[in-house]
Amino acid sequence: MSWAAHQFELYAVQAHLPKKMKGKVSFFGIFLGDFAPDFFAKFWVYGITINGKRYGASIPEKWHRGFPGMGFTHTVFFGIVLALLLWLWKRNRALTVGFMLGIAAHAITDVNDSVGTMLLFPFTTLNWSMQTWAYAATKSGGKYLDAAAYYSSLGLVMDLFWLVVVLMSWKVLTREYWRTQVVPADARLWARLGKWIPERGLLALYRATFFYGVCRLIAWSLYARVFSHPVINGVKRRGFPMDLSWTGPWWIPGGARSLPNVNPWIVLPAALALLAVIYWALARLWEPMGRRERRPSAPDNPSSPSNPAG
Amino acid sequence: MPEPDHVDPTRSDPTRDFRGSRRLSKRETAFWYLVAAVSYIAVSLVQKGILNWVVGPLWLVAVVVFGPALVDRVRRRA
Repeated sequence: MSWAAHQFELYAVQAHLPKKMKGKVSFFGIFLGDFAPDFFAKFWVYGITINGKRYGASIPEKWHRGFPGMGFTHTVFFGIVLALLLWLWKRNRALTVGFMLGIAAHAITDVNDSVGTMLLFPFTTLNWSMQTWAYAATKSGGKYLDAAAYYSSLGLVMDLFWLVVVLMSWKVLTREYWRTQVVPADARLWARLGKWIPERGLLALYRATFFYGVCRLIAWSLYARVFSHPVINGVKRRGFPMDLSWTGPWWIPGGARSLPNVNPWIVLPAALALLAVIYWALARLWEPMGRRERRPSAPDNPSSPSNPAG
Repeated sequence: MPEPDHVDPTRSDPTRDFRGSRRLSKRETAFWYLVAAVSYIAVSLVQKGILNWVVGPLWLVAVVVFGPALVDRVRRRA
């Protein structure tokens, strides 16, 4: 799985919106979309321990990304279904498009680990995985082993890659950008929050996911490199060994987890093609959605304050 | 901005926001973000349970909102 990459990719999506969508796509939508897959699927992956007994998925990788399980939450299909429901409920183009972009970014980023995601669900339940690093959420190791493996492998490089992508678009984090591009797309929500929080707090809220990503990257890297004392092959070490080989690290008990998958060589082009199709489709839908958003729905009482067109 | 311009009190005072709260300079902003990051990472090394989607963002917002307000209050008293 990806760790801080999911926090950074929000800002990368926000910074690289198609020209006609700039300043019009909801950042909260992107956030919710990116957050949704793990919100639905991840709580049971590590499980909880009560009185020494663990309650959680018996095969974490299958629950998280496979079928049957909650793997469908990490698919573009799931994003389309939720985005459609969101559109029918709110008729809000900014929120719907943002949500779809966020969930697509999450599903596509997660093809990098050894389990991957079911990119073409429901047409096939095969996983699409580049196997760049090992998926290491095991029953016995839990979150700690998962974090240590991720930050001792090419997963760390992935996080740093996304961090650099955001830093290269550093303007996306400035106050001016927030004022002119982010707030207008969610004006009502920011105004509501503004009743309780001063401007510096609102700006911090916008930057908070980036902040969390950076802190998470540093904290777990420190744990993996400095503050842990694992016993590997009978030898007690200070810090987990770094392994930047493909599908590393080598030291995960039982090896890297995986599920039945397609040939890894076709995954990157397929994922990029899918991303391009999603952007193309959303760009095509952008104007029709805008027209539908502005059209008043036939109300029984046009003067009612609850009229969504009002 | 969250409020329309015609009700924005900051138009007369650029150092204040739409609520009348003080705006931070770039240096002050960097300081408080750094305080938030160092304290969050330090505490999280002891208590990893706080490394999550809820506490992380709230930590930053709390430090940036309450930190300067607290310092201002102490300075006024002094």
